[in-house]
Amino acid sequence: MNIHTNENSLHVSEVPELNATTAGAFRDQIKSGLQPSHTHIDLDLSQTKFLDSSGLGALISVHKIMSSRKGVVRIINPTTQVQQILELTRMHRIFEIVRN
Amino acid sequence: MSTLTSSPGRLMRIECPCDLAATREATRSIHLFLSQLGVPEDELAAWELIAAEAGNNAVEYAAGDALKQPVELAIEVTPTHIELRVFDHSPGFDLPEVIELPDPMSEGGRGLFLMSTLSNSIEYLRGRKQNCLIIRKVRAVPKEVVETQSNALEVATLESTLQCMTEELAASYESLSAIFRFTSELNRGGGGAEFTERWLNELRERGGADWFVLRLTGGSNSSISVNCTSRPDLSLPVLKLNAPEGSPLPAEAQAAINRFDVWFGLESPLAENDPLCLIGSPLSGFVHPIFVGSELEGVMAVGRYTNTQAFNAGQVNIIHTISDFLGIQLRNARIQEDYLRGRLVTRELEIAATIQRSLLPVQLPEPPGFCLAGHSQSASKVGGDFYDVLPVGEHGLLCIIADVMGKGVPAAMFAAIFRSHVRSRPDLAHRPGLFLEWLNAVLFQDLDRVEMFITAQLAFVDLRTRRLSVSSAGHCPLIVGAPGSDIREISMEERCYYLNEV
Repeated sequence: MNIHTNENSLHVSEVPELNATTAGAFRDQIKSGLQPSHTHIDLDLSQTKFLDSSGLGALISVHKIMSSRKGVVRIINPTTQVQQILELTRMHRIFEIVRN
Repeated sequence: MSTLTSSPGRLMRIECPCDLAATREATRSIHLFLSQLGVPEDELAAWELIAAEAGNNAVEYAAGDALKQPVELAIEVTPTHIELRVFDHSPGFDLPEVIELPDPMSEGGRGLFLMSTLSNSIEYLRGRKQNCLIIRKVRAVPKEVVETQSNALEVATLESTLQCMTEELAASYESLSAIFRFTSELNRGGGGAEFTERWLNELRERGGADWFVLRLTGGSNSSISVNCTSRPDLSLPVLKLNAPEGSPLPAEAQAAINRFDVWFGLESPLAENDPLCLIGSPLSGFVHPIFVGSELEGVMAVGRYTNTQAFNAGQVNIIHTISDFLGIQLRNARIQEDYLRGRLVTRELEIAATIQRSLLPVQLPEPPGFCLAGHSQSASKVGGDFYDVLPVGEHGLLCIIADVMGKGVPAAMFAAIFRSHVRSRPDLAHRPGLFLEWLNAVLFQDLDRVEMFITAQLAFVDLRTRRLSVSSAGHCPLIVGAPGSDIREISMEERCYYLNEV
């Protein structure tokens, strides 16, 4: 997983899987990488081949952290599989999904 | 498309430790297994997710001892549906009648929703020691069938599908009738090597195979060896199931380890070092792992002396059914054999116990001024130890204690022989040392032949003088005590000891 700051956003990419074994570390690494200046978290899920309910839980957790500081979480270029699961669980209504 | 509709039923079982990483790995194997069976991409993704959620559930609800027990995943693919069963040993959970999405801000609780949305039915069977989550999904009708129904080619496809179904039905009938005959033969006292061979030849004939090799674990987890083959002229080696990494695993070991059928032929040739290559070339066929419950019983390899003609669905069905049924019978035969062996050992121990009991004196002599008592308690069910007290003339008493090394019938028998020898020479009783020397001379050869030995102690009491003469052959020291003095061991240097008045 790659985390770096891009102006006022925290950019997260290279996430091969978001499952029960990786969700905890995913959330913790974002939490520790977050600085007061960050108003956005951009989650690039273009390489995420697998997402399960624990992964969804981690996404919600990140969303709550940002909501408490009035920030925004965006999901960038999710794979078809990830997109389908987000839609199936109606989480596409919570996250801003960006395609570029 | 044709592969999908004519595929025979296939099953894979995976047993893994109760942790999240292991169940995730198992779901990857399920993905691979389904993709090898030609399941389309969208169904694959759904099943990988369903299996992952079911596996996570099994681990997350486990606590205490349940964490030490494995989680088992079994997936069955038939032309019409796919079914996943996940067995866990957790206390279980209540499956709600209606599975709904949790609050949008909830960080958990979407697993069941995903499983139920992606499948057609979900059931949770709770048992005292084990629970089973069953998820079933009807397979999608291939698009081509829907789109070109009026097409003549499609009609042919449908006909071929129908033929496959008829074939499967006929195969099911044949399998069932074979099982009935199997069972009635077993009831007439069948079994053993001849029975296995006859049935495997039947399997070869009905399954349309040219050759077969049945390997069994024989209760071992690390290797499988040939039990019966149509090629007894070949010496097929024992296969280890933990081959070093890097070297290609033989097809039979692969099937045993990965728990699914391994096919070989023109498209997927056998590895050069595969023992099945000894059977001939070209060669095609498959290896079917035989499980009883979740335990591997063996593997059945069947094939033809050609690398092009694959088995049809009906033949595969017959081979699977007969192999699995034979596996159960062989397991039962092994259990029965173990049981009989256990019964024999128990019987032998009972005989030995009877011998041992008969060696102990029923009543001890009661010379005036003396009081004698004895008690024997064996460490295990039967030992080779005994004691005896013999009156010698009018004024003598010989006390004997001995222990034959080992347990069971041989030890009890040597104890009986020793006792007879002691009783045969009352003339030596008053000189215990000499007596033991004589006993050693007469028994040594027999004992030495079976690598056994006896430890013994003789104590002669002169009732008039109260003089005790003791001799020991490797036995525990004699302990003496008297009113007003300490309890102590008699050393062999003392030669003799005088008993105080009781």
